[in-house]
Amino acid sequence: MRKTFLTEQDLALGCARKERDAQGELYARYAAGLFALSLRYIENREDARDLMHDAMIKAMDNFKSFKYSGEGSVWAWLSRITVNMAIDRLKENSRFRQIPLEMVGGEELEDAMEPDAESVKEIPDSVLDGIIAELPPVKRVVFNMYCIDGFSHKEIAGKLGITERGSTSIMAKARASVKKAILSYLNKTGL
Amino acid sequence: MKDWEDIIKERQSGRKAELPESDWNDFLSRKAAHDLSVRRRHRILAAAISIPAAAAVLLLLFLVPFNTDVPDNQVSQNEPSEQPVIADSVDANPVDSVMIPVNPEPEKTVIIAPKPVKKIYAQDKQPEPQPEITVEIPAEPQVEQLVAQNHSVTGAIYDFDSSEPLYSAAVMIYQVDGADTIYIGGSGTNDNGEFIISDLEPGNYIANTRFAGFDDTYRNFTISPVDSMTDLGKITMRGDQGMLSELAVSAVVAKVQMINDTVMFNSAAYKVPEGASVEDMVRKLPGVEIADDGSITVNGKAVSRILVNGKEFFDDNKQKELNQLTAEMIEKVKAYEKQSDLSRQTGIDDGMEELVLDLGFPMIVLNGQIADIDESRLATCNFRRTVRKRDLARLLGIPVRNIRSVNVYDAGAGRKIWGEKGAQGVISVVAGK
Repeated sequence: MRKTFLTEQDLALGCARKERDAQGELYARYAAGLFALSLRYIENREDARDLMHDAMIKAMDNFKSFKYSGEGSVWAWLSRITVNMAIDRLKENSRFRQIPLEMVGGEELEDAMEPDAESVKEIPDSVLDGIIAELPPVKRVVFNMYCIDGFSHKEIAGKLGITERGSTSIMAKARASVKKAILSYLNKTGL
Repeated sequence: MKDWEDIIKERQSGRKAELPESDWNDFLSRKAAHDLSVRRRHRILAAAISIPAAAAVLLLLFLVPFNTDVPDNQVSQNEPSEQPVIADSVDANPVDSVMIPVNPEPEKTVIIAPKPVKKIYAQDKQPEPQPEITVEIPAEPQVEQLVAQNHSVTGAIYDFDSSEPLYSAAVMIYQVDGADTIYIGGSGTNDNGEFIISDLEPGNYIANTRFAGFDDTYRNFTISPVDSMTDLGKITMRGDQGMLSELAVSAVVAKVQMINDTVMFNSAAYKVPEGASVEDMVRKLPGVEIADDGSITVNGKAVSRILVNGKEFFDDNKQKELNQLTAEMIEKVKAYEKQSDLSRQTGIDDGMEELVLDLGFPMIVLNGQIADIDESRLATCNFRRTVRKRDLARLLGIPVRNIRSVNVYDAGAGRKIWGEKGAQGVISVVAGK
């Protein structure tokens, strides 16, 4: 019979003590979420699963260094580990190049039209996933980090080895691409 | 942040993806392997710190099955009942499971097996009669071997013709287990041709002796549980009849190969400084000249086109293109005559052939799924304007939907994101249906 951990804090304590039940519970609670997160960074399902598993193992090994600071902090910590590992992996695979990016010339990036927030809610998950997955690797990573996982441009710049300005401009481009994709989807479906 | 971005954030960050059932097991086996390697590393470290204890620790490492020696090793391929349920599932009712402790935890009973450390020490203290003989420890021995470790086999190897002992002959012991023979360990002979191999279990074995210039011998023997020492006596080896002839191995990088009408230059044979352009390398090729106006001749004949992996890629300004590429990227350069456009279109040979220079780039297949890929292309590029997938598709003459991925490999100074105006490099396009 497995021991149950009612609160996140209990779970964190158990994991820090390397209790097996706690580790199982950790997996049960967070694996699916981390897998979804990995999928946003790495297209291939198998690779994403590997990444999630490796991140889990890393987290379980280093749980002592985790400090509980309120509800949701376990997730925040786990997702940071996963994102960092995802970036390392992308760099390794050389599909992702480190580019000192200097933007030349100002392209017209911002459309006057913004997608309506209400109708964005209506877009099915699969379509939204597709839109993000379609972005070129660099844009995809920056968009994921900034927009969804809440990294600052400074952090992104540090992790990817680009300038802060580079990060903002890639983000602007990524935003424009996503926006365009969303608008065209909405037009197509007539929403 | 814009409203719609907030919505995306909200929806994406709360997402969970569906995991197949087998993932938990996959994870456990991965974690077990990881834990094992961590523990191994720790032991090796410990061994390195205390040199006198090193031998004992290494023995411990090899002899002790890993799942019994450390109490916190609780990872096992466990029963389905132990499998945690993915968070959303209905079955996980925490309150119920707290109340009813049905089975005691199975791991604890398993782990109570005595720590074999003491045995190891006891064995370590045993006086080793002949310390100069190396004993190879079997790769995955069983626990029983700790008990039956003092069975040994000895023997001496002699030359059949001269009756001299053979020094440094190899002896390999195979255990006969039903239809299988399993390599257990081996040793070499000393100055007197003698060998000893210890730590054997009772059973049937084959001793195989080998020595360069002699025929192999095979000898069956049995170790009974009673005898601690089995003597194979004198083993004689006959000299091999055939003499070994002298053998020289050398390799020369072929500079130029002729295949029918194709002249193939191996670029590895033409050394150019790092970062040199393709033009620099092409200049070095024998018989190839580049005139001031950029026109290229091979053996006096003008080259009309430059191809990349057999496909047309460059426009007319050839020399400029050659300057854009670094020589290291190229594997082979071929010069051959190709039918003219007209005869290729009509299928009728009009006898008008043109000389082409074909730059061979290594083909890189990504994703590793070669079987699924119908075509993959590698080409050099120098983006004069922003290029999209559909442009590449048009260039390659395939539908856009067939393009799986596009990757850029660095080249030159103007590094940009692929597709950006001004970016250059070698791009690989993986396409498939």
